[in-house]
Amino acid sequence: MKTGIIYHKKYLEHEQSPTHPERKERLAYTMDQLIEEGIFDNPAIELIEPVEATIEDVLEVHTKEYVDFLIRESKKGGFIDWDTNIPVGVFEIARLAAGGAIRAAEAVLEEEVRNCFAMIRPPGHHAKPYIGAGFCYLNNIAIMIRWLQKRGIEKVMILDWDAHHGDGTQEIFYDDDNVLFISTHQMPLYPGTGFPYECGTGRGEGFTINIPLPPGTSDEGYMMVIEEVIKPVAEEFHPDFIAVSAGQDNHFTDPITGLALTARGYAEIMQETVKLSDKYCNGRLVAVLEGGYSVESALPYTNLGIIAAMAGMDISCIREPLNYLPELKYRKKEVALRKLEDNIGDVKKVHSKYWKCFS
Amino acid sequence: MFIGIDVGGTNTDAAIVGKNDIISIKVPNEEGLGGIFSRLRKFELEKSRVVVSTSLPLNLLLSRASQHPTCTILIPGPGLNYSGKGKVIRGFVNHRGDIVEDIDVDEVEKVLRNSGFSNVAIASKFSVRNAGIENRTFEIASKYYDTECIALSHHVGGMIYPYRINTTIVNAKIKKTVHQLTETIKGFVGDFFYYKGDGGIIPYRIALNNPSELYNSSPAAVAIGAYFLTREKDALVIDIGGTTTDFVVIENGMPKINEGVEILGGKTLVRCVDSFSIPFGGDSTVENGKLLPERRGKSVAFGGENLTLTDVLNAEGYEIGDYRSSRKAASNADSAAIIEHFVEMVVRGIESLEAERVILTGYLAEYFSKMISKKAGVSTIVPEHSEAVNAVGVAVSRISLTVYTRFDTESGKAIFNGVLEESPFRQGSLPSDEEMIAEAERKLLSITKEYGYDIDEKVKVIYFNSYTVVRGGIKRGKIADIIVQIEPGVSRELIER
Repeated sequence: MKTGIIYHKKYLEHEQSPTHPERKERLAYTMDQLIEEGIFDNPAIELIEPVEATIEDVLEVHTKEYVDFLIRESKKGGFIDWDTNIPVGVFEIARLAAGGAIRAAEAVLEEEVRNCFAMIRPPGHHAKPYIGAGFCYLNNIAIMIRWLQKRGIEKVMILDWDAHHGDGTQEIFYDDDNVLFISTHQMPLYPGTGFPYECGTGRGEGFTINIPLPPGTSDEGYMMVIEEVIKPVAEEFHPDFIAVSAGQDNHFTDPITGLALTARGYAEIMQETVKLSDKYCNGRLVAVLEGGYSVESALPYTNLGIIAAMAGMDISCIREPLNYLPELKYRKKEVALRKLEDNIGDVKKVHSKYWKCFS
Repeated sequence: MFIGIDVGGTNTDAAIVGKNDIISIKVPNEEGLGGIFSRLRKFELEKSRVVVSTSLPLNLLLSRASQHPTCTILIPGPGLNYSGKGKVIRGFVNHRGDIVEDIDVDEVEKVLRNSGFSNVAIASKFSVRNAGIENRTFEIASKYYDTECIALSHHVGGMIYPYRINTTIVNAKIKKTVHQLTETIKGFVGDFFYYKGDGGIIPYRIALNNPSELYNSSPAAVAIGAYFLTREKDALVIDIGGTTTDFVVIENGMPKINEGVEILGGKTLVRCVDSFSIPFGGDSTVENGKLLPERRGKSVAFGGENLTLTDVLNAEGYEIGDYRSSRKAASNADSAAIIEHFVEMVVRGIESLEAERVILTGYLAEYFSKMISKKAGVSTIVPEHSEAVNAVGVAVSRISLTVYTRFDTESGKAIFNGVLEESPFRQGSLPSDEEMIAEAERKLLSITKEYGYDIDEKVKVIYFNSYTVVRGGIKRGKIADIIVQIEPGVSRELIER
């Protein structure tokens, strides 16, 4: 079966301001790369048009007060925080992004495609029920998961591998034992949350797993997290659906973070995720684009790597051009691996009372 | 005057379209191009616009593609794996059109030293943004092969690397033949145009670098010719030829175009008219009371020895060529049933396309018109000169050029069809979208003029995308991709009269 890509040219139009990092230029180079590689003409790929999420779908996650505020401010232009202003018309485009995530889930659920990459903008994982934040307005992945839950999907595993902690998504599912939220993120970094001891509440206790990454964490570090934490927990949780918050700001050329993942590393962690989806949930997997601000040196190659891995294509030639490699030397830190081992130890200790695999 | 020449499988047709009249000529291919040009000499070739359609010889050449093995050199850099399509070598042009990894000359030489190939295809990723490393590889390759045997992917034009590779391979295989043909035609007429599969015409110099554009052009010629002769904007054109009968739909005066046509088993960037054929025509053999999908030679009516569809028409009372000989030869055949069978197949084609209005062309059109009209319940038109509709279409089409433009004011680049030229915009400037489109249109018209075609045709913008380049929070420039085209169709000076 095919891999779906959700895309709409309106996703290119959104700009908070012409010089904001989350701007039109973000996907332009990726689109160049994907078109040139023939991705949209490849028989293994299905390009799918998104539809706007309904207000009802949005209200499953966000409060009516916030939605009314967003609708009102979106008409004249407004402001949420220093990173996140409200350009005119953003509510429609944010609904189209959330609707893109829903459409991806639907395409997978209805078996139109095997798995699906929602290449949407603006991103969503910092958006909380009552307020947007950090370039995000509506929490796309959360709206998608609530939609899935209404259609009988019980257990969803979220892998949020954006370099920033997915604080909005964590808050939305903090007390939900049917949604396992696993986040890897650089620490310290915006938004400042995501410590291992933040592990859920009430029935949801133990179903939030935060794995802080030290700056300089490389491909090897990510693989270590997959082997040590994600695989054993997935085996025990046995998800019915896997949702990835696919931030691409962990690339070693990202201007606002300090991790050291490569394009091949991205393709490989996606390949591992695809394997998990095959093992536990019949391949049901949706990846939703979140951050990623190295628009020219990283995104064309990381987005391609993710799509190639999801579609089961050969990823042996996925890499970034050689001229960027000197930068990796300065980013990647051997010491980060030892610190990461330590962090993983903390995570296992916190979660040993919830997960047999860690006890 | 407008002169169109269509080299078919068995005959070459020519049409001379003047101010008030059309003259058509048919010459068997045995006489070669010399035969047709000697007959055209009296029509002031030098003062006329001469257009040549050669799709059938090229189609035939491609049917024997394995006899022309291609050394395919690929320079993809990072991305998907292309090693199944050719020999991958070092080097990379990125999406911005910067050469970020250079080729290794020794590696290129090593690939080229392998023998057993008759031509070379060279394709780098993003070559339409910078042809630099393709050109350098070409220089090395030209030490080993004639330049007419080497095709480069940036001449193909569009993006989609895997399709551009396939197109470049097709070009490599037919380039030499098109070169030789061009030299021959130039000897007779000097300057001339070639006819493309999408119904437009291009100066021969452009075709030399991207000859796959000449592929399968006959259906386009038939459609444009039928429209020109009837001015029917919406109709199905059925061309009853010697070996096949072709169906082409025209909508709003233009045939429908297929993008990404498959040639040699791979999708290419070639655009062709959407058409289909049934393998039966006037020269199809009649044997044991059956019509066979093969041509064994001329009809008895035209001095041949094989009984054909044309001959059984004569047996039913028509008078085509030497009809008496046809009738003698067909005395034992059930002519009526064979004709009925052919008509039925055509009617099925009409029904599958749900056509209501049919233009019939080809030299048997007038004989079948009533039968088809009655059986299918549609109105049929047989235009005057219907036997030369293909050549008429070739004669009257307009020049159709496409320019792929990329402006990158951050790096101060302007790239037209893969060639870096002086930018009309200052480095770091932020021109408006309208200004950028205007420059692309100006470029297209200036290329048209360069080829001596100084007539204002309407330029259409078929793709536009632009965005601002921001580094360090400051706008450093603007990037725009623009595709502008003079669309195929009938030349304006002919359509307006």
